[in-house]
Amino acid sequence: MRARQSARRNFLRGALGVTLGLPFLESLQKKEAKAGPATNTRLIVMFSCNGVDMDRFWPNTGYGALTSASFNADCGLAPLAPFADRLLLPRGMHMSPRGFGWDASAGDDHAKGMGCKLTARRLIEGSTYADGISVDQHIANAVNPSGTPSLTLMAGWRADGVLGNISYAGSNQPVLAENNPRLAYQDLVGLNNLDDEELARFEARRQSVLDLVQPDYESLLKKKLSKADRDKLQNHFDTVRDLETTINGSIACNLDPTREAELEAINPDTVSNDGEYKKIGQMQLDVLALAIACGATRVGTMMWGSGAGGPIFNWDGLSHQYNHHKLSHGNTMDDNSGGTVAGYTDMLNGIDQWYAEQFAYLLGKLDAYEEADGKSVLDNTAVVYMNELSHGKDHDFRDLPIVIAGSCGGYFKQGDYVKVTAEADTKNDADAPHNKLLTTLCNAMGVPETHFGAADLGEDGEFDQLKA
Amino acid sequence: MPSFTQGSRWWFSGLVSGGLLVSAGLGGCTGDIGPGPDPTGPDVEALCAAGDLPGPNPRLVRLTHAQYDNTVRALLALPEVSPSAEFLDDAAFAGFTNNAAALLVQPRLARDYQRAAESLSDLVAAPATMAVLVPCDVAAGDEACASEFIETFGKRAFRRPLTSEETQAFAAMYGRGNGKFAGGTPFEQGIRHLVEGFLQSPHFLYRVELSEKLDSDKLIPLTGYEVAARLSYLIWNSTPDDELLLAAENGELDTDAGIEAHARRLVDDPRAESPVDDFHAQWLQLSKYDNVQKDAALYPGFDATVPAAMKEETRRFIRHVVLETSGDLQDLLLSRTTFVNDQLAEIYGLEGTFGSDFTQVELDPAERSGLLTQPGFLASHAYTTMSSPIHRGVFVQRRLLCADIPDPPGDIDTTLPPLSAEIKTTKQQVEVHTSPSGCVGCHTLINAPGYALENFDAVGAWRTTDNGEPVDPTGDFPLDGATTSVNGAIDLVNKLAESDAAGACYLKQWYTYGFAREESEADSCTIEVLNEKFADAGYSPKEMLVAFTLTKTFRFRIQEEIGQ
Repeated sequence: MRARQSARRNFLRGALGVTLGLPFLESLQKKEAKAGPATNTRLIVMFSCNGVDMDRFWPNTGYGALTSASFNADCGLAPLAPFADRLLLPRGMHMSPRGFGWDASAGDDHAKGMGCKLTARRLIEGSTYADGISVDQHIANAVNPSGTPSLTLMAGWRADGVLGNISYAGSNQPVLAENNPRLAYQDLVGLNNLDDEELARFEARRQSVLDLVQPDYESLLKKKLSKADRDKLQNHFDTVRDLETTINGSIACNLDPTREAELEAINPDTVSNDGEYKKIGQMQLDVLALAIACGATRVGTMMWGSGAGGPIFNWDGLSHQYNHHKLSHGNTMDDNSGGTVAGYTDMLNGIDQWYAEQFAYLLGKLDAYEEADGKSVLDNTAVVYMNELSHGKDHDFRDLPIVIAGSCGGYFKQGDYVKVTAEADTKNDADAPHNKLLTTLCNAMGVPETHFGAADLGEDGEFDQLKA
Repeated sequence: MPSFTQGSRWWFSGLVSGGLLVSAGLGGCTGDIGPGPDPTGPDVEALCAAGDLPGPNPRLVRLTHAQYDNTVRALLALPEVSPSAEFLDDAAFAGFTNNAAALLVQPRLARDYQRAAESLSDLVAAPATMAVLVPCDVAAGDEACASEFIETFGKRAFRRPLTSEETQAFAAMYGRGNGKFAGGTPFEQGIRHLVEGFLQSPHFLYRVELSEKLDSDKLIPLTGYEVAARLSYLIWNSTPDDELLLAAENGELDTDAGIEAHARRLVDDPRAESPVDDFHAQWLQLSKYDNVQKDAALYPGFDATVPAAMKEETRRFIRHVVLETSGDLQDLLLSRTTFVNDQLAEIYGLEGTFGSDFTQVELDPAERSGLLTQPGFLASHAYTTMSSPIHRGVFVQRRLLCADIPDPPGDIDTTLPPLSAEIKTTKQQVEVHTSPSGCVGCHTLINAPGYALENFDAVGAWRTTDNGEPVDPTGDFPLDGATTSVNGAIDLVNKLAESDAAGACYLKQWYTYGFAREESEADSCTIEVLNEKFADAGYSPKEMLVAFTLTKTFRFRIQEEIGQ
């Protein structure tokens, strides 16, 4: 404990006030990693909802090498053309468990699309939350310092319950995403603007408080408690002890002052409004990229909107009258009824391209951060883009739209469009359950796994076709 | 394994041919929770014969965010602060975010607590605040004054007197405060440090029940202080006031009469607004109103301020009924007194002059009556262009009658048939759409309450025609075990208000919220006894809260819980 703490103090003194893009980022982020090989690989999942326009989502060229020519102007992924040689497009994967009506278990298609995508586990009858940990939290538990879970951020309105969550700390334990980037940023860098003397006082206060409360936790834990109470308290106590040695309002980096001022000016009452969607979302991507680049965490997620929701897109050349979910059903309602909206597939295609632009924005941020070995942070990261569904109107769980950018330190192929099902028809993808992708991501991050997700769902092993 | 070929409806054909999923899908739609023994449920009679037992209450209940805010406001005499606005939200379980089993402290919240304690300790440095908190002249503050502060403030922070070990630990902490802040006298710094320490102790962040001694019935009676905390957090969502702590010290809370007297004092105090507001917002899913959107061509001017006004109306209505008039569920379902601004007055079709402020009005008894006829509910359970009898009916069944209605199958065609020469109204669309045999099990429960509300359009405005045809707001559905005919909204809400099922459901949801846990088998006798009482007296939240405090589950813990 004490030794770790003094190490942190030195780290803080040395690093305070440093801004981004400096060559010693790698040494910063390696602090105190507790497991896995000494690597600086990272994982980010960017998630959007309601499916995509499958007719135009994928490259117009065949499988194989990707170039900027692989993306026609109307391809859903066209904005990613500048990153063609950093992309890996796995094609023909189905969700495990499969959609409602295919695998009998709790939750409808939207619930499963949200709750099962990062967990590959069933939903729980009753709460409909997922029955186990998500891949981001699992990896973070293994590679981050203790007490530093996967950073979960979002933009837009959060639905109550399973539709508003992709990340889980354990069975029936959703980890809610922060939708206010000012609070997310404050949580990361809160004490960065303190001078050494102030910081020392803060640390002394915190140590003194820990000295006070530690015996309280210890004596309470000696009492006869139900398992639920004991787990709850032990978990809290572990977390409080970890506060001393983890990010704790202090990473070494700041956003530039202009951006900080913009975050500071956020109105907390409107962060989830449609009109703020892009602004808030890009701020979250800035915060996420900063946290990843500076080693505050090696794993993070960014969720755009909620399942069966989404904003009414009215910016960047999009001028829609209906929200994303309604358009995904091609009409004015939240199901397949109601009047057809003329040109809705073009609208969906426009939304797909818009999200691809945001993904490109994130990739650009990560690529701008240089590490000690001269590589960019993007090179060392797997940035995975996933969606709740594939074809939204059908609530389809097959042929999932998935993009991987960055090689995760050389683990993944780059610039490649790869079919992972043996079948010619990528919808006939029963042989390619998506839990194998989650298993592959674990291994890419140095967390050995043979089967991520529920043991009786999906298949063992990795998608070897994706590995470099 | 089913084929992965598109359009293969193996599941659907299984449904039609009476496979496993038929019973699974319809199992929840076979009845309501009317009186009479439920063959699958616990044997209430046997349980009651064994004596009314406490349910499985946790020993440690973390403060909800609302409780944290209310508590620090009271404790620090800072009525304006809302630290939890910067906390990460808690997830909802069983419809409520206050479920004690789910109130975990994950790392982000641990840091939120730390930051809040540190910020609040900064606010305490303000001379006016510190002067209120410490029992002496701040300028003359010394160790003796600090000791007194530790005793009095500690008792309020921990909701019980400190032990001697705790007193010593805080005295040491006071001494450590000097030099840890940028300014202030050693006394001021010590007090600030104490405040941040108290606010990070598990005895503050949780309501901890330390009592362990068994009584002659092998139950664990809670101490007066533990009862005081249960009272104040149940009825105020806040910390016990000094009167309650004094009552605990004097033994007043060791008897039913003493508990009831204080419970009655608490329910008539303005602080009772917090749980009443929070419960109804969650029960009625008011957060859904935030996302209500309407077709801009049909409803020009329907922007985000309209659903916000709808929410405000419902909140004011609930406060008025429950707190100001001490009303009951029947009043919530039937009262025509409500509060409108100009936007809502337009939806209601009220004549007169209205502005952005809310004013109290009486609604037309032929058209409006209570919660289910308010625009917020009606508009949030409707499409952008038209009403939705199915969404409205599902809400009535799930939230008002506690029926277990499963989600619709995901693999069926959910397209309502288009309007035609034969299908002229929304009701007819729904009737045709839900007529297949696989649908009727649930839709027999769902449709009629929805049809009865067909006089209200997509924003909740009154109408007598739908697509040019007269509205037919009639239907039959099972209620309290008997087929019940309804004709229009007023008839529906009157029959719901009279029904046993609605009362029992309202009580059950209050019980879940009030005890911050899902009900267990051990609760079924307690709930049955409560139901008998309120079925006659009317389900008044104030009276129910008082009655909760007189149950065994409120005053005792069970032995079985220990050592598990």
